[in-house]
Amino acid sequence: MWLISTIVGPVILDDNGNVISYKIYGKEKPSLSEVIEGIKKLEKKECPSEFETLIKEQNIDRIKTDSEIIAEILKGTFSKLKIEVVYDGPELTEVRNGVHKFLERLFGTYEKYVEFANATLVEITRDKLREVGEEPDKMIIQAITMIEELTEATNALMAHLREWFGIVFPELGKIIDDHRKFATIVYEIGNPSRLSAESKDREEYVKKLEQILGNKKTVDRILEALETSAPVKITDKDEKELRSVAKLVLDMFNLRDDLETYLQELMEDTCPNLTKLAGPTIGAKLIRKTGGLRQLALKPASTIQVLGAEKALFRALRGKGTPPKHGILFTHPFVFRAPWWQRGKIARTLASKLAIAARVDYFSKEYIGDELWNELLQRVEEIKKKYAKPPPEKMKRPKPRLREKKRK
Amino acid sequence: MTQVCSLLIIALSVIYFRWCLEMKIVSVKEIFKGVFVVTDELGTERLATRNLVAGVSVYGERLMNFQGVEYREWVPYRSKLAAAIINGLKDIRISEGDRILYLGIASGTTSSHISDIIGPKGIIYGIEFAPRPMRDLVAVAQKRKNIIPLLKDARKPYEYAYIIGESVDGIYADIAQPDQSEIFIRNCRMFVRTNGYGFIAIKARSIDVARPPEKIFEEQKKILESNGFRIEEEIRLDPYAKDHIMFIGRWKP
Repeated sequence: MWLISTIVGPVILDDNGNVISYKIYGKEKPSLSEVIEGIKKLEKKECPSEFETLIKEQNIDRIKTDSEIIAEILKGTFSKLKIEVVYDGPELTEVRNGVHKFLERLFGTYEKYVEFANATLVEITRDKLREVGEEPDKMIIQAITMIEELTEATNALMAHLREWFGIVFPELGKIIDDHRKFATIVYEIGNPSRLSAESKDREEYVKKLEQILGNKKTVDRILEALETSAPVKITDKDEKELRSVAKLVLDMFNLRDDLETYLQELMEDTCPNLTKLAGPTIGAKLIRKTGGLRQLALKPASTIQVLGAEKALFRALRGKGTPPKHGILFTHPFVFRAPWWQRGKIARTLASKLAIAARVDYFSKEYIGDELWNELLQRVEEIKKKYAKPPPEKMKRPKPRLREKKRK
Repeated sequence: MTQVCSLLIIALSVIYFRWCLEMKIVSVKEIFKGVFVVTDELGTERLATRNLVAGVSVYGERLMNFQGVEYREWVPYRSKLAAAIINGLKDIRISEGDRILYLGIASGTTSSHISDIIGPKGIIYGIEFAPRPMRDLVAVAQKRKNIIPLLKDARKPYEYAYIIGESVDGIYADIAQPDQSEIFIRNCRMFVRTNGYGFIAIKARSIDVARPPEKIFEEQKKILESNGFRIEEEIRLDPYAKDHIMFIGRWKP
């Protein structure tokens, strides 16, 4: 005797694939909502009532089935029932062919079954996807990507704005390096002739400039530069466009700040340990690279160390070049501030601590960030003491060339 | 001067592009049942299938009309099955009304063409584990009634056995996993009828990045054959997919 679960409900067949009995979720005829409910119950590993009544009606004491899940569910409900799970063999094939014929008969034509199955599973899969969308790691991944794109876009826009404003007042770009301050000056003051001696409301604008920079020295330098350079005259129209570009860039800067605080909060909620050690940006990048916190937690430390350096890693595995010391971790201050011969060692320590942090975050949700942080600091100090001097440089000998592939 | 030149080039390319889209189809030849080679005015040949859902393009491929029938271009760079057909597949095996289990269906590029071939009386059970491509697949499945989306892990066939239940005529696997041959065999055992056909696309790089592909293909072939999958054809997919091979055969345990 075989028990096979189908989309519409459980079916009992004999060993030759002849249907003995069956039950359909809900009523006599398959209905969409009842079937969806039945399958959802199975996915939650609960026993739908149709299974119970079918087995009780038939009064069976031993049965064969094709799925561990079904066996598990039945064991929970019927303790005396002997269940055998069979995965292969000619008998199973016969039974499956029997199920196919049964489905065809039940719906009249196979086409109708296909349509019904499609409607049911599209609905179930959509529900499942909705749940997946609520995971916080997906939010983290999107947020970090958006922050990166914004940084890139603002940098490009600022380069063009500096170039453009450079036609009007070339010295300003050299005096002010900070992008944000530069954009604020362009937006608040606009035409630099407002700051010149002939201007009526010079006082007011100089005050504004002071407010923006918060530093009298730089203001004096700007005013000095203005006297010697004699800025190019621009029309009101030019000024308007320049100012609106500056406004856009400033808005983008603000948006990026907002997103960064949002990411920080999100990271501290979902993975406090990882955030403590790596900081929100690097932590988020690691999560994005692996596809989620779960996947990151399952990675060994050695993999975390070289995440983001795949190209170099695979090159090294094929026998060309040296293996990489760090991938995404290079942007961590511990690593890039260290001298070159310590970086590999520090990256290795950092990666091992990060692996622990990610696992604790995913599996137990305790906070052990401070302890890990102290251990990390200690180990980094040790490395710095032990390897204070660079290793002696080796003589470079030409490497024997790898034999190239013969071409046909 | 340069500006004028570049404008001219843009204008010309736009005109050329439009002209390409409205290219007249000269002839349509059926190479396998449901698979066509469409030739246009310039003599360009394109693989295509008859569109099951009129007027809808799934992944940005072009639609072509000939004598009142709409054909959908089958792009070999996007679909490994199309690459295999172009590289000399002798028999497509898939026919109208077939039931197919598709492991690693992704966003439904190849499966949309299989869905064209099998028609409304056939069925594709599409297994995909990643939610992102599944979103796209659900959108495709809403229009193509013969695709059944299943958000499941192909490694664990018992997790979808209670939904499928019946046997299938064929299996198609495109899962870039180190143990893909084992996964394929596991699914064959559970669902494929005796003498059912199977396609498996193997990416050498996802099994081992360092070793030469030929050796990997030999190994995978051994795993498949020793478990009862008789390989009838093997086709390299270069240049459409690098270091890929497709094994086509029958399930005879």
